[in-house]
Amino acid sequence: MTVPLEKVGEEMILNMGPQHPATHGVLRLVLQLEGEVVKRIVPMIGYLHRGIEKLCEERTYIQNLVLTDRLDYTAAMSNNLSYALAVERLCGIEVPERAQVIRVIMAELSRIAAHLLWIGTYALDIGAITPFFYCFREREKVLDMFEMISGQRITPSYICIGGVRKDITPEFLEALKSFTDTFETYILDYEALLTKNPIWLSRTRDVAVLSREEAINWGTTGPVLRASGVQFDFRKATPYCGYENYEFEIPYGTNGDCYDRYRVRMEELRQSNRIIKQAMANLPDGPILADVPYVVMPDKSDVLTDIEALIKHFKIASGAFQIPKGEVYSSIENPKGELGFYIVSDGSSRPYRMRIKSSCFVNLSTLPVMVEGRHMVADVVAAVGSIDIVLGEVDR
Amino acid sequence: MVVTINGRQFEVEQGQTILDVARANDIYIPTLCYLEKVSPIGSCGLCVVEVEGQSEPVQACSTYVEDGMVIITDSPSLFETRRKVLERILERHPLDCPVCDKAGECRLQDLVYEFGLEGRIADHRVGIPRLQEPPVTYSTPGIKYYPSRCVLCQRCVHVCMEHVGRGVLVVNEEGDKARIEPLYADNCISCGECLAVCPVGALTENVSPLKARPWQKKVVRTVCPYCGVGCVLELNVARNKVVKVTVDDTIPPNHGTLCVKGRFGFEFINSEERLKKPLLRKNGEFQEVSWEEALDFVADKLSSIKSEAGSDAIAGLASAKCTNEDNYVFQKFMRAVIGTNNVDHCARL
Amino acid sequence: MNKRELFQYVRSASPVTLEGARECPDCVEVRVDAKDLLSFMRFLKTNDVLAFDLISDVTAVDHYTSRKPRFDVVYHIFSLKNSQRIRVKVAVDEGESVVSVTSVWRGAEWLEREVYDMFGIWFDDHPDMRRILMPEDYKYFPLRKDFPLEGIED
Repeated sequence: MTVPLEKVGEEMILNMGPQHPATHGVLRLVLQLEGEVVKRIVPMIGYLHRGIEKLCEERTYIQNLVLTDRLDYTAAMSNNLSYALAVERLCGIEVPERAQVIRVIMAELSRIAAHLLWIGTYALDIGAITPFFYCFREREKVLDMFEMISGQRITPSYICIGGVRKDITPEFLEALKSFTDTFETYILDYEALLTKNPIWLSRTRDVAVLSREEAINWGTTGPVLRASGVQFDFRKATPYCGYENYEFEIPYGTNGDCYDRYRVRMEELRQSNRIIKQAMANLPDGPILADVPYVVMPDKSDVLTDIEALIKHFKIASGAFQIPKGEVYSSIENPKGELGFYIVSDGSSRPYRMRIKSSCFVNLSTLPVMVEGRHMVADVVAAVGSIDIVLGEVDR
Repeated sequence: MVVTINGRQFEVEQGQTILDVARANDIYIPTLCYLEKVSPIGSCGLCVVEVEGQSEPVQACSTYVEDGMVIITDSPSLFETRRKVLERILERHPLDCPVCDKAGECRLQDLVYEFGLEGRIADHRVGIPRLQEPPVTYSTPGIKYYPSRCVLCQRCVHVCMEHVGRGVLVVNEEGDKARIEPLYADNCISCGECLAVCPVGALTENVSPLKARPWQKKVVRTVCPYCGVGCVLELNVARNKVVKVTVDDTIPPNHGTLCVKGRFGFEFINSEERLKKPLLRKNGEFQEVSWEEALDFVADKLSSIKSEAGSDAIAGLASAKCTNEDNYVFQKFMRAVIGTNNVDHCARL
Repeated sequence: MNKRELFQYVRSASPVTLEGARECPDCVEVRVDAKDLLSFMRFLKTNDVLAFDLISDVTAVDHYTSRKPRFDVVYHIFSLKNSQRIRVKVAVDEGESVVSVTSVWRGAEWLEREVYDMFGIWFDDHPDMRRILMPEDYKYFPLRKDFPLEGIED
């Protein structure tokens, strides 16, 4: 692919990626350098474009749930949740209380998993290896818990339309309790390694600054927006799943640099842990699936012994589940920012159009603003990492 | 005559059933056994409606309208009655949707989904065999018969008796042993009409080795290539191969009826034995040759026969499976180029 | 400001004539003519009461043969102040172009590029109108309804 950059005089055009350890996937950056200073930077994306939006038009609403796992695969549960909420809103399904609380637990656990992955790999990008091992140790525990309830670590498809697939078990709750009880001390470990580390500070402070005005103007969401000084979170602004019942703070930064993004995410780990603790304490009893027989899959053990359940399962899976005509835009606060689903239904069992609004995509578009004319090549790594992109969601 | 259905008044004629009136006015009454081309069967009891002045619900398919009738087609108690009917049918139904040919286009599945049935009476079913029984012998090899899937709607019995006029099928035994049996199998002409009307997977097609679910199939409407009647049929195509033949009830000339050839005679399309290249006998054996070589050979032989023995020594036999245009060109070729009237085709196939 | 108030305010204060406005379950939806788009968007952003400052999404819907003009370009804009979202729709036919809103929200830059890439709708006055996900020599627009799922082989 040609690049809209032109070399002038002594300048150099440098290609970074699509295979590069610090681009977190198949991202290609084309840099126009004057000496070491980056004069222009052009992100080239699309190397992981799988056409998920097109695929969704050809599959039933139930099948599409699985595709959402493959967007931001570091926080698949959150993606499931956003999609399920959009479909539920479209057909007016009320999710039972217990399922809502379980959903909150899962969404916050995936936020922890995603942020831990980010801190570990970001530190690795900048040259600190130790935090990687610390973070992955705890992330492993979260993934084990996911496996415990859904059988899958990365792509659980656990949160489904109408509720969640299975009830959580006492073993899961036990594991969750021991995790949340100790997690705060682990956060202190990470902070001890990084927060006051002089190398860390000099690599991230005042690097890739995005001002408050720029952050809003460019439409960024999530930690990138908050680090630039906007105290905004969709969990507070447009609550879903009963987030209005939980006590938590929205951390935000002041400078909008890489360090602030780090601080914001670090604080979000604490807040997520806090939310999970509250959810565990107030876990109500009751069903985990909405009582809408035309939409909600029957229990698997019934399917194997009961003809009614078998027929229902067959009909729903093969597309008898039709969604009323209409359209909806629904979004949640994913670990990376706003994940929105805009679904246009023509009344059939497949979406007429399904748009996935990805925060990574929008946040990545601010990279030139952060870097151009201000920073050197090595800071590009720090800037890209601080945005926290997952190419699966950027390219879809 | 005027009747009232669900509070709305309709002008009706003598001899119409309640179901006729409802359908003509887009009022939905669920049915299972009802079949338009035969007399009302009334075996399923799903189309029950309430008529004012009658203590029990009546069947809409077999009750004729009377002047001043007040009918209600939907109420909680009717819904419950219909649910009971479905539950009764499902009591002995095997758990084989995943392997059943009909799944996805099965009337019973649609109804169970529509009524939101759940296995509420599972307890008292313990002990009832729920595994699929193997198919039993039927009157024609074109059809596989699974008695355990049968819902005893008797559509097949009636269509065979009234529509085809063969009377092959009867309901044998009583109670929970009752089943459809091809008692007069000698009468069977393998027309497959019973297969076409079966609402569930009791009678399934046994010709095509390929099966496909409805959403995998493309339906192509075409004209039967066999005889001169020109029945309209629908080829169900999956992965570019014909899976089975269905018919649209509303389209002339056959109005949903087919014979054995139209319904089961599609094997030749995907047959391995079909010739795809011309064969020429060389040294006593057929060998594949190019079209040029084959046509040259035929042209040579034809012109030498014509010059030696005259045009009438040659006769042409065309195929009824070709299009009219092909056959027209063929007879033109025989008359104008060869110069003979000896042209015929295989309409007696 | 709740959704109802927002709906009424937009209807009464709009500087351009709205072709349609309704209150959907998820947000307020308005439809404007393509020529009024930019002035309406400026109004949404600069009006102090509304303050729609965060662009959530730009996308399109292809109605193919069922409607003329063929496409709807759909904007979702969020107001940080009111925590409300508005959906703006503009109808555009094949071959026609829409004015870019990058002068109002810079964040529309990549989103509009993606709409062009997927639907072939050109945006006027866009600073960098190129394909974004597909290769630049790609001839088709994949999210159009006449593009087959399995793709087109050259």
